Amino acid sequence: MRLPCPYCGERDISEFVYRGDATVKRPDADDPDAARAFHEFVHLRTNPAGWHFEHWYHESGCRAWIVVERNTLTHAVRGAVAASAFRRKVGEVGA
Amino acid sequence: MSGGKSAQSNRLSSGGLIERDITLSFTFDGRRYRGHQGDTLASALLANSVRLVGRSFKYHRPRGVFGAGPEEPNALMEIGVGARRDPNTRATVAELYDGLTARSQNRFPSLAFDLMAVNDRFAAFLGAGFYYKTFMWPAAFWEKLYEPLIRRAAGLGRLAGKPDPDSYEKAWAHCDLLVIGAGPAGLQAALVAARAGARVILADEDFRPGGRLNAERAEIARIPGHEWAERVAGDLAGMKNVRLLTRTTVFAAYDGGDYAALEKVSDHLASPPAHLPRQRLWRIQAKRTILAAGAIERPIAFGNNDRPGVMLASAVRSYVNRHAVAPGKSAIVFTNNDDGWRTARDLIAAGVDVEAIIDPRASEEVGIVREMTGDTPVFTRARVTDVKGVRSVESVEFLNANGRTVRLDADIVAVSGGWNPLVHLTCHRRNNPVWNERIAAFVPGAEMPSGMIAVGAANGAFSTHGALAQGTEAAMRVLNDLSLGQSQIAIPDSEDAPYSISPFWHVAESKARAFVDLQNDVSVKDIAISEREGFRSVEHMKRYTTLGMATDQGKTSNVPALAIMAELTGKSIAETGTTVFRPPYTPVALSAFAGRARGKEYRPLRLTPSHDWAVEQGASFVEAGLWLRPEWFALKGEKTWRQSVDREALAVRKSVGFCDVSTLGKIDIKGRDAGLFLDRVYTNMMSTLPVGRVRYGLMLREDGFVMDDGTAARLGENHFVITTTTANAGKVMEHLDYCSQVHWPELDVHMVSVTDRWAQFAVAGPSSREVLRKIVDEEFDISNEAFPFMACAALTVCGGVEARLFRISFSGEFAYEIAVPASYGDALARAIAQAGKQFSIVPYGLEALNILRLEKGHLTGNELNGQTTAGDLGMARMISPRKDCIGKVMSQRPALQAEDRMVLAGFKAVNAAEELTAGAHFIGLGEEASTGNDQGWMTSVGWSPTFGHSIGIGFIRRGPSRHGERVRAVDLVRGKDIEVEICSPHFIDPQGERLRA
Amino acid sequence: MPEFLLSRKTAFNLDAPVAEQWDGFSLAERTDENVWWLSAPRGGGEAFAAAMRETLGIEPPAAGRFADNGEGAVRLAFAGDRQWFLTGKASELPKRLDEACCATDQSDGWVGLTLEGAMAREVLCRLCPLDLHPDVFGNGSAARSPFEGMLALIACEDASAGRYAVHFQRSSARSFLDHVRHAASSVCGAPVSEPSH
Repeated sequence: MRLPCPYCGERDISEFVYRGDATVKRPDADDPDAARAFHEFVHLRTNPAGWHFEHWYHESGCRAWIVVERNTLTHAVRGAVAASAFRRKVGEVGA
Repeated sequence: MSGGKSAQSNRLSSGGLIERDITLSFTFDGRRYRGHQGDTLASALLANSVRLVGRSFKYHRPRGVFGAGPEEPNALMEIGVGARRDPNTRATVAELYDGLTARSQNRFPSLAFDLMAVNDRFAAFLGAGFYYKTFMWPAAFWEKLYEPLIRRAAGLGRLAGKPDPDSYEKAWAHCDLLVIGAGPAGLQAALVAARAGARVILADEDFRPGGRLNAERAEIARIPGHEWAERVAGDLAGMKNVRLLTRTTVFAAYDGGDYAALEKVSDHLASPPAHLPRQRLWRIQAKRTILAAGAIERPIAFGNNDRPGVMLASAVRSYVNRHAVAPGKSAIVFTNNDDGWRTARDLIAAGVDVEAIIDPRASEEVGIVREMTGDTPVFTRARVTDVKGVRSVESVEFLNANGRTVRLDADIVAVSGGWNPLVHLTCHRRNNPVWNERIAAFVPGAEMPSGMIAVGAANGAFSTHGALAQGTEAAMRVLNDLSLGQSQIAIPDSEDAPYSISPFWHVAESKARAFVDLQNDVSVKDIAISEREGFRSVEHMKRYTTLGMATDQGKTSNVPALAIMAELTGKSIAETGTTVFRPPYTPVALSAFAGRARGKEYRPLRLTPSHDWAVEQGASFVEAGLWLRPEWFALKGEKTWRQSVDREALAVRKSVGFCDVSTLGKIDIKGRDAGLFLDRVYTNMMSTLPVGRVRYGLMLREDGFVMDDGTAARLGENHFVITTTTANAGKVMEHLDYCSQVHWPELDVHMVSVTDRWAQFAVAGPSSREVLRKIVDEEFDISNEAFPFMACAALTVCGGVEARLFRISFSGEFAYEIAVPASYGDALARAIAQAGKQFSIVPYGLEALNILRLEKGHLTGNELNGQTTAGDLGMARMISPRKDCIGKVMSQRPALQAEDRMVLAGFKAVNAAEELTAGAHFIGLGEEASTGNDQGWMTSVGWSPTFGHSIGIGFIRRGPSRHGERVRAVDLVRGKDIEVEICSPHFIDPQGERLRA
Repeated sequence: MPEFLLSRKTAFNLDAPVAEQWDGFSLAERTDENVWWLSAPRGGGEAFAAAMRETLGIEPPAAGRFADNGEGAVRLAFAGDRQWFLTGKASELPKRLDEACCATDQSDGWVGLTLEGAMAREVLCRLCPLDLHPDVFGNGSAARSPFEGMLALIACEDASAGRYAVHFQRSSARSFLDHVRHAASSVCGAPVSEPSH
């Protein structure tokens, strides 16, 4: 499988480290509901069968964290952006 | 001893694609034979009338060569000698070379007289799934008798049992078009694409491009097909934009145009040059792929169809046409399709008697022109029921159209049940093949791997013209897709015979066993047993009967088997379907997958800047991750490692020692928000750290457990250098990158790893300052007032060399760490050794380092194992209440704050002579050693030369409040049960007075 | 007068740079090269580019490329998001540049090799998974890539001569060199020079 790093171009998957769902955002620690929010942030994922926005780390290349849009059933990849430029909400899956 | 009756008695006097003026000598089972350049081991054996080449897996039945390619199920041999001996090698694809040594397998004491043939008499008890129903009683006999017996009987070839002496290589290649198979379709496709300038890779498993053109008498553009192939291959080989790979099998199709191929670089060379690898594993990235892999013939099953001399009809043609070998003297052709008739024609042309053509079809169904087989007797509506002869076919019995049994003498039976397109690579991405009624074969399904087109026989088009036309068309489509212009290559003239076939899978009237999977000895009867016992799906049939699970992966047996199962279950073949196809297409040696990653080269080796100096000192090394680090520096006369380690540790405590600590991860952090960023990733405050100071820090994972510890040194307002443990350097960098890029991209923080850039040494012990005074340039004041405990500074040493000094201590002694650019590391080690001479300085290694830190109660990965919290480590107070940090919220989960958690404590044996062991679990005195009574475990132990007894640290419930109490350290693995006293983990200098001297 | 003087060793811990030849391929350790890692702040791209132009005379290159100043003494290679790899004779950076980015002297942390020859790409394809065909990775191209599990930076200096600059981490220098040697021998036959160590 190959991933399109926005800085380095298409590279073999062995250059990357997978992390997981990119749509979950780190909660606010000052929130009164922080304990539950952090538990969900750390432990709960929707794990869809289909399009998924996910974090990958280009460890053997430019060390950028990127968000890849991948279909978990077919491994088709629709694109990738720098993680710092990714703006999507929780649960929002690929178009 | 020269072999056979007369040498090469079956070699035809003319023809063939062999070089008759190059004679090669080889041995098989100790006997010497001759062959020619261009032979395979199989063709050379047949040329020498060697009929018996192996014994079958289960029943040890005599077997001969069956096919002419990778589908071969019988002629499996051990080829090579000594460490290069390879078992289960197909003689049909082994290129003959001078001096080749081959040995048959699976027989004792000899091929001709095999004791295990007795199995054949018990065939009734050894059918499908027999081992699920036998060898059960008495139960005790399994381990002592049955299992060892079965183990000895099982298996085919023997491993050499020696380390592989050859080298293997991996390589990457990129192309616009990958063409798999250099038969007519592949050669034509490659030519069309290459002429238009596309980057083409053409791969073929054979040593000679041409595919079936080398085995048939078909013409292309009015010249022999093999000549056309040679010309085109020659053209292609000379083109700069073409990589022509022969002896290369593309064995896997992965996602996104990614393929793997195995090239046999020097398997065929008697003495390969030293610099060549034996095999090369290619990873190919192709924008488009044309699968021109061809097709493989399948047989028909009938009684005793496994006798030496029963062969695939197309294989007989290969031997006759390509190798100029007649596999026997008189042949019978048994075929349900027109293509099989060609074998009769070619045998006749070669002067071999053809006794009969037996075809189960009605006369009207036979499409082929009869004239080509002259006056050879033809029997339609007929089928072969039995073969007589054991070590070789002697005669054949068949039923004629009137149902009468006829017997004819023959020594070859050429069988054809039709052709199977090689769809394997189209299915590696789960694309089920589709049954095509017209050609009675599976063809590629619709969901092809991205960018792949199947052409020619692989696509079910069996004529030469079909191959050339589809190859041309596919190449033009690819050129168009990739906007690479066009190619004006015409499709050359060739035959376009229709393919006429009537499905026929087995002869029901056979009484003797009719084999379907020759290699695993699975018969039609076994398939019936499987169906009867409920294993009806093809996946179940495969595992229950083991059909298709041998090294030939069922290439000649899968389709007939599923067709027979379809018959038995009353389903259609389309409904029955195939088993899942998975890479590799043919077996690949593990060494090829390893490439250079074997033994010492398994991983890159990271060396410290003082490595060579340490070697000179006689250091003993250990792998710490990818690094090589000295464990101790033995002096002459020291007989045990303990002597060296005790000496080193005592020297540090008494005077001074030094150790290369360059391996610890060092990350340079700069930016306006550097301090703020560190506040968020460490549990304690870092933004308040004054310039010129170092602080110990703890990092948590987001789930509240400790991830790593280290130090942060502030060298400037916006400049920190942090350290990590050696093992976690990469993980921490990944984590910090994640935090700065994903969580807080608005922070101005820049990180770069500087682990390799600095050589760093710990100089530790009461005299360390004196030693450093001689190294640090005199304008820098390193007195206790100017440079107290936990100070840091950028300065210069040895006359202006850039350096950094940190007053930190892992050993617990008064100590410093000094860093210089790595190119000075070797020199600095020598300078420190010299400077410390008057203080009896010693170099110390990892083992002494570990004892020193253990005496002090400092933590390593044993304690920071990812399952412990800051509180467990006695560091709850390091989590600042003033700010959030990674992991803080989750660290407050009630279970992680429970008062009865296993917390860090020290341990010493009540009987001082006892040696503690790490991994021991703590059980109360008088309690049973069970998991219910488990109070904790020992994480690190060592012999303390300072105290003269074994010490340890570990985790135990309510540790800090139980000092003085006694429990037992129970180690069931090493059989120890020792009474220990719980104490502080800080055995030495608990107030840190030495540190602050 | 300091009591001890420190001498420098090369990345392979030798006194002289490594240089080896095969038929159609050669490798040579790059000497007298400083290495700087530059990181520009978010939103500071323009200021960084201006500083680069005015102090070192280099226009920061696009992703996948490098640029050097006229004389070729200093080269700036794209290394990732707002990251640059500066090589050449630059023991100190101009103040203006230092202010426009975070600069870290990495000189001793990296080793540079110049690989050259008609067979260079054939040798490199045993080591590097990138497509180095001149149409895809021509003069002025630069990329970060794993090489046999080690991180490296590769730049194409002259595709027709097959000349490439490869930089990798000091601590694994010997492993890296071993792999290059092996690949070179596999493609070109035994080396025609004496081994450096």
